[in-house]
Amino acid sequence: MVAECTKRYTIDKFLDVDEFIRRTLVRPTEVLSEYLHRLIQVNVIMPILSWDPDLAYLQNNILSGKILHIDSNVLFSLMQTTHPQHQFLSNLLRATRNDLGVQLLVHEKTISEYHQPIEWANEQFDHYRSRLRDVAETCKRHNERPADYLEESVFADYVSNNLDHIDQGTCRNI
Amino acid sequence: MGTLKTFSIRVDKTSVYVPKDEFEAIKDALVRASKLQMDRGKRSYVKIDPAHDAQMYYWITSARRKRDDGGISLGYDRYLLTLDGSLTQFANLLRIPLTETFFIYPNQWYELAFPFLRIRRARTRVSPLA
Repeated sequence: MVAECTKRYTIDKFLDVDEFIRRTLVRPTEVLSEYLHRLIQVNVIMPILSWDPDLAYLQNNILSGKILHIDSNVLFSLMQTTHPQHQFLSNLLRATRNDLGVQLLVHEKTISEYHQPIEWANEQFDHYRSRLRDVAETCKRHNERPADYLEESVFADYVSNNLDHIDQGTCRNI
Repeated sequence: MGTLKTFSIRVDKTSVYVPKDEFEAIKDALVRASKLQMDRGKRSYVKIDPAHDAQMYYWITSARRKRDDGGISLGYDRYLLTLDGSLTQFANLLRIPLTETFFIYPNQWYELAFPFLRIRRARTRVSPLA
């Protein structure tokens, strides 16, 4: 539709379409966001609901057959319970799969890429063990977050979930 | 494999071969994109081995299909769900328009796919992402 309108109304002569989309849809100002939200509610969502109250048609036609390939950085946030995006992504993927029926796939190459830093962390564990134990003790004593002390998120997540038994080692695999 | 089962994520073993010349060009753009992103202070290191990202880009763009009635968003049948901000720079370098990108960020997916769900759930007073 965008391509068709661009051609029909020679939009390219008057504005940069990418820049227009960026400013209005991708990175709108706060005021514009609020305006668009209300505009969409009034002019789009209400008519849609009156036409299709269960939204079944829209879900079936717009989202059916969609496939999301999960990248390794998303796998990381799913695996690391202390990752800032963990809860959001966990809920998002559950709702995507269960409520929208969208297929979720991960390629075996992506799993290999995910495993590389995990294996590195496991290999480095003996070297870092005493430091991790110190961080765990400090965090317990002051009720602080290991992520504030450890740059490597794999170790930070490990310490967060194993504050009382650092010596057992082994980061979680997928 | 517990996490994958929990989220009903299936493992794909499709071949992701990329012709050599294209492979090198894509990898080069991915490295430059990560450097640009680092220069903007948005990431801490340049990608050392972009092979996986290059394979995913080539494979998804080869395998995806555009809907006949494809609108401004979600026009294709498959996307890479990623947190990699440098892919926006990558798309810029390859002159891929915003409506044609092969990747989507979680917040974009949430905004694009869930208005319907939010409304439906709001009517039953349950938030899907609470």
